[in-house]
Parts: sequence; structure tokens; C-alpha cells
Amino acid sequence: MKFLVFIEQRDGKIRKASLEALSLARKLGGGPAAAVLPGKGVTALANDLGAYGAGTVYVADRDDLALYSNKGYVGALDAAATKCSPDAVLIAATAMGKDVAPRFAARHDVSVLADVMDLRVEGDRLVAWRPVYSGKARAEVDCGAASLQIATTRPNVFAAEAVSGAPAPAVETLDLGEVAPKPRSRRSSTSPRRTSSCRAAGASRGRKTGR
Amino acid sequence: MKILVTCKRVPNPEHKLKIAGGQLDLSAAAWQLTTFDEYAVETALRLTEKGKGGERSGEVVAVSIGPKDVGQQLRGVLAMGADRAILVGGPGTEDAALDAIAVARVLASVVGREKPDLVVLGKQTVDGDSNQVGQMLAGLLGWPQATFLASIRLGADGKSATVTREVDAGVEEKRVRLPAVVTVDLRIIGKKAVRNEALAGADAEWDETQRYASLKGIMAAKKKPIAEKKLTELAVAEADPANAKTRWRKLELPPARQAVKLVPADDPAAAGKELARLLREEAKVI
Repeated sequence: MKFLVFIEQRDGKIRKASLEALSLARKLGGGPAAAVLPGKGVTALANDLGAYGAGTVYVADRDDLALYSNKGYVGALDAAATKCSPDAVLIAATAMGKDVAPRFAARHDVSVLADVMDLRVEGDRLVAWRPVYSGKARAEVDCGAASLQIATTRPNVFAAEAVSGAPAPAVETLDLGEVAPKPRSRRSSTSPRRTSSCRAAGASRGRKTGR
Repeated sequence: MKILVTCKRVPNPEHKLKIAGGQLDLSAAAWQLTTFDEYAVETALRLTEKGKGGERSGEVVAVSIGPKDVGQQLRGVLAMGADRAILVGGPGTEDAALDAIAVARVLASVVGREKPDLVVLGKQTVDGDSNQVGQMLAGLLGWPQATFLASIRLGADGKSATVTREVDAGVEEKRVRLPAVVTVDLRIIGKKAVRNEALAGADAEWDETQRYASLKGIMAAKKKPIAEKKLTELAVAEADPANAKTRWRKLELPPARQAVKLVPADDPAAAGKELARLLREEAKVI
């Protein structure tokens, strides 16, 4: 099974949640996976991905990807998917991953196994356990009739395993043309928030709401 | 300004789940609107009124998919102040057939017919917790998307909105052109989180909660229309469970938590050492 993994970086550092997804892809695919790395000044980071299971890294290193934009980052993911025709795509279920994955899925007329806590391959299908009903239950889900299978992996659940002596990945630059818009968003600084398993109480009626 | 807002009913999240044979027993479920969709309705209402309890301008249309008795939840939304509702039901709208992309397709068809300036959704529902439909809807429509909103401010010209989004690093601010699809997070019901200065002025503020239906609102809601639509009327193919792109195989309760281990603290120094040893050797977290 061929995997493509979306790699997220912040301030020039690859996010651990993405390395977890990459390690998982190597494990499930039984060998190196492809990865896509969008951002500005990210080409230098591509080599580090070899140890975590990347065989090929598709890099979209552009000024207009310095800040996250849905259109630009989904465009990069789509361009990589066109190049390597994966059977499955893994994306860390971070705020960015949750913004990217469904929009990418809509382009391919499929749904996403969202926020999975366990993932395995049965035949040619991805099968996952994921929390539902605000964590009060868990559901075993699969990708049904989807031609392209997509899952977002809950951060801090899977292990990010570096293998020493892994060969450096092949690095390919993606030509995105004009798909990326000019960056308009800016990040205002507040204290970092937890990525995962973070549950806030429903604001007004004391309800538990899933986050 | 015309706003389409999605409304999904869920079993009361405070009640215990009944699971039998890997399936959820919903026969005795107490249904209610999912909290994030209530916030979406509140957001839409605030964007179309002249301050708290003020005159309304524009239209808020609520849409839901499901069996006829979802009308009860829609009636509640109309009582909050929405102007009319659409209920998509009939063959092909059963839960098993409707995964996220199928729901997004139905909504895209409704948007194509209603032509709203803005679609507001809760960021996720508290049953499936999948957090996908808004993004997929935006993708199908080719509209800009802004997810996990903590605030929204409409531009004076009504052609764009400035939003802040809850992301892992903090809060991200961005501008979206309208028409757009937005999904709302918890903070959107803050006092000044929703701003429509052209309509309500700069000082407008609301209660830090979604509104409850007033008696007057409940009476008025009885006269507001709920249009029932079938998938065929929306030119959407009936979703087939065998063709769903994600399938729930079974459901179970999460594994019980392991018992807590207590470290006696009669001798603080020894207790500290024992705690460190347990964290290192058994829990393997340090």
C-alpha cells in the first residue's frame, strides 16, 4: 500500500505529530513512504524526514507559503498526490491538518477517517478506531468504497520513530504554478495551546463538548 | 445579508450511551441540537440584528438533514429567531448512507439553490466528532473557508469578513471574501466576538451565551415555514450505504481506566523517590 504523508512545520521546525504520521505510514506500508512538505525555507528540512520513513519528499518551498493558507497547502498536497498516486494519505490531526484534510478529500470525492487513535491495514482497506460521542465511545471505521483513503492521526498517540542510518530521501520540488494566493493571514501571538486530547467544557450550560 | 446555518440533532451528550451488539441504541434518545450548531445559529442571528434584541435585517435560513421529527429541533431554531428552515429527508438520508462527503454534497446543493452570502456551521457535531463537513462544503463550492472561528467581523461593504481562528499556536487572523463557509468554535459566543458594525454599531455586545427561545419567539416560530425537500428535488443522487466513503463497523465503550496507584507520603523523601521510580520504570514517562 502506497502512502503519502502531509508534513507540517512551524517556525522552521517539523512538528512531531507529522513525524508520528510518517512513522506510522512506514510501518503500515512496510517501507519508505512519500511525504509532502509545504512552507517557506523548508527545503533544508526535507533530509531529516528520511530517518522517520520518507523515501521521497515533495517540497513546495515558496514565499507565498510562508503563512498557512488552505488553498496553497491543499494545492501542494494535491500536486504531490498527482505525482505519486498514493493509495492512502495520512495527515496529523492538528488544527492545520483538520483544515487541510477534508478540503483535500472533497477534491477526490471521499471522506476522512478523522482523528484516529489506532490504524491498521486489512487487505487494501484502512481500518481505524476513533473516539466518538465526545470520547464516550469509540467506533471502528473503515474507508468503505473510497478510491483514495485518507486518515488524520491524533497527535501524541502514535510513536515518532527515527531509524539511524536510513538513506536520505529523494527530494523533488513541486511546481505549483499560481495556485497559492498571497498570504493575508498573520499569526497573533498567544500562549501555545495543547494540540490533542484537549477538552474544554461547554461554555454556558456546563455541557461536555468534544474538541 | 443572507446566512445559511446548519443544524444537526444529536442525542443529549449528558446522557449515558446505550450500546448493544456493537451498535448504538437510540430508541430512547433525547434529541437536541448539537452545541456547536447552536453557536452557529447564535452567530448568524448576531450578524443580522441591530445589537442585542434589536431589529433584524437580512435572513437566516436553517438547514437540517434527517427524519421528519428533526422538525422539532428546527422549530427551536426558528423560535431563537431564524426566519425559515429547510429539512432534507426521505430515501438516502439515513445515517448509514450519509458520511461527511455525502452530507457536504446535500448542503452544496442547498447552497446552490439558496445562494447565501455566508454559510455558518458548528466546527463539529458531538456525535460523529469528525469535523469535516464545513471544509468539504467549501471545497465543493470552491468558496473560501475559515474554520474554528473565535470571532468574526463583517466588513463595512459586506463583501468580506475578518475572522480569528483557534489554531494550535494561538489565534490566527485572516480575511475571507464572501461568499464563504465558516465553522465556529466555543469562543464565538463571547460578548463581542461577533461584529457587524455597519448594522449594530461598534459598541454592540451580547450575552456570553447562546439565546434561549422567548415565549414570543416560540409563538412566532409556529408560523414560520419549514420546507421539506427530498434528495431528488435537490438533484442529489441518493447515497447508498454500500458506496459510503467511510463506514462505521461497530461501536464500543472505551476501555476502563486502570486503577490509580497511591504512593504513601509518610516519609516525603522516600515517597518522592518511589514516585520518580514509578514514573520512570512503570509509567515510562520521564
